[in-house]
Amino acid sequence: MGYGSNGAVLRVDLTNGTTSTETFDEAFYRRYPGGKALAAWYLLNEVPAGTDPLGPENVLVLAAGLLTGAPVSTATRYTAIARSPLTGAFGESEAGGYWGPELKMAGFDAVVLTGRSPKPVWIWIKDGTAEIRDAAGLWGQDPPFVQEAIKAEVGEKQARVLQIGRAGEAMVPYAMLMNELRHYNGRTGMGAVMGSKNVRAIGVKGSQRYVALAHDAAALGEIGKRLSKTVTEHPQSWDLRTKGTPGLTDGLNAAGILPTRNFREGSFEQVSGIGFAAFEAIRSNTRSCYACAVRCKPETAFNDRYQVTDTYDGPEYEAIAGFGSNCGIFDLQLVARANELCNEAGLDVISCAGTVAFVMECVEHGLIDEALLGGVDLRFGNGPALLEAIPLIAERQGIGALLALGSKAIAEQLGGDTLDFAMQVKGLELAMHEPRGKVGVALGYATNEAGADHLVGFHDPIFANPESVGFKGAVPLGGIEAADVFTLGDVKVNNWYTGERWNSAEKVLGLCFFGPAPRSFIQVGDVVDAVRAATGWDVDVAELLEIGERAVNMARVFNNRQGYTRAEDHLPARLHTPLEGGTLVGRSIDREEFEAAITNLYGLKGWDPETGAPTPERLHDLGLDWAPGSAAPATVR
Amino acid sequence: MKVHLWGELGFYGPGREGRFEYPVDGEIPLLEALLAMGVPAADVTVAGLNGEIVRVEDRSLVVRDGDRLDLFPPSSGG
Repeated sequence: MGYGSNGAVLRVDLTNGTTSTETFDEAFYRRYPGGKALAAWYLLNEVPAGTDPLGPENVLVLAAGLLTGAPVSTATRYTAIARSPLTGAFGESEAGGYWGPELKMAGFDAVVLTGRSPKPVWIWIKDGTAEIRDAAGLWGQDPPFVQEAIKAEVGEKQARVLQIGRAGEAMVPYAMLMNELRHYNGRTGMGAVMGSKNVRAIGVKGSQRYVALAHDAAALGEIGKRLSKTVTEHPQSWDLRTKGTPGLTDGLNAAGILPTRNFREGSFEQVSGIGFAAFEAIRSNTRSCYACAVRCKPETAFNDRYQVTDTYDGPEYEAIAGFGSNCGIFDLQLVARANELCNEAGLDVISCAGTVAFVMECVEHGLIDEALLGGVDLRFGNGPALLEAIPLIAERQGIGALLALGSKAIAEQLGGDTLDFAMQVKGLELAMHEPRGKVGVALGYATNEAGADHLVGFHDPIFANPESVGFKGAVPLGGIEAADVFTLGDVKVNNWYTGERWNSAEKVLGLCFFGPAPRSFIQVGDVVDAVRAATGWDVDVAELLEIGERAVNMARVFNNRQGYTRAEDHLPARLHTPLEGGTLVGRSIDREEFEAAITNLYGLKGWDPETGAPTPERLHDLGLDWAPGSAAPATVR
Repeated sequence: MKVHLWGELGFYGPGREGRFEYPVDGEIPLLEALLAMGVPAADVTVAGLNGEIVRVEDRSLVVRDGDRLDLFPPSSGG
């Protein structure tokens, strides 16, 4: 009987061209069970202060979650972690799909890439073995070619391929990783880090099943079967299954929180052009991640005003709002083509769209020299210019050379007040969620170690009504109380603190944000039961929250070591000014109230109110006394 | 009355269809209409009545035959 893990991590030393296996005992896994926690453990131990994110001394860790590959819906995810070339801070991005489960089935819980290969390579992992192979014929090629070439080379049609695109090869700081072409570790430039190591892809094939790793395979199987039956009986998972994330656009617009024209407004007057009805007209299929009954992944295919194939995923909501309303564009066919161009190049759609929207506003203000634009008239609403610009980013040509920097670096070059409307935190562009209408999300944007991501806590509407499905789903986490979407009072901050720990635990366990309550159909008790069945551990909700909190604190310590303090936990100034249009016109986030909420949140977390660093007492409580240094105690390792 | 239950609220529509006609005799309070349709008011965060945003908990609101009612759920991450 196992505990849900292989107990083995693959190390790949790219400088010396060698591979090795590192093993850990069960006690180690109970503290760092997988995903974000396991990857952060490596980052803290092996990446010192001042490390060049694109230098050989950076370490890229790809870690499957504790439950990744289990026969339980949404247990598909793995975490990519390194020092981010976009932010200089803790870089982190999760993805679902098939690669994470396959890694577990191949006998490894994580892959750690160190050094830099002298020439382009790819890595082949099969059933506990690994080798570094030549990638000369893959470098510069489109992702579908690379995927097929790898499967053909090893004679394994069912191998799963994780790779970068040309943007990763060119080390564009917001280049992403993709697996099986349709699942993306989009955020914080993990593709650029892999590109800096001259690694184009990692193929993996495993023969074992997850249940062979589980403490009680029968119980785990029963939980999975039961949950699969309930997926269509819960309104939230039913919604994800029937509409996917494109179903969000119209509701956010009506609520006044659809980012529009670089977050100037919160509703888009031409939303019907990018809303769900427009999406239905181009939807071709819906796909799934490994063993997931939700099946939320949308695909589009059409040959009309533009041509798009179903090679890649989406557009998901983030691309629809990012390239649509936030760029002032109301043609969903064009948005879908922009999404496809990003995926083909291997760019994060959120950072790409956020950077484009920022540059559009700068162009409108006459702040960018015509020579830099290279003849591309990138203004709000100019969709054809957007389609011209995206491929240039991976080439770093013309306007692409500017856009490839990301919004913060561009603003720092332009100077003046441009940083006030560069919609980023720590250099990471805001996800497509307007926090002036759900202010808890702003707490996440400001304080998250990786920057302005939207999947780090619960969004405020869940807590607005204690009779709602979402609120009731959150109650078993403890301490949840009703709070309206605009308050930053004690109740909201406490709710946020709970939600952040729970979401972080999901990233450690390998569960999708669209699985567990309060966002969806898998109840809190189901998650506890699944972990117990997988591991045999007598875990409870409190221990899972602590596992999540430990991972957050590891990320925080990493940032502190790099020189980040409370000074970096702030919002772009625009969010403290009134929304200029939409249902919530005039709404802003009060700066003093927001600072007080951060102080309050730090207090709950046990962080110093001045430095934003965890106190020694908190680190001790979490078993992280070792973390500010770089060596884990031998009793744990 | 033309009703559009957006997002997850479509789960509560007849046959889980989000768009449908709902007969209204004269006028009835909005909250009463929601109750009759089986749509939980607690899960409605934004309502649109004939294109105007209204508060669903506003007890003075009534709906009439010929109205268009849009109901939106809490929207979380995407």
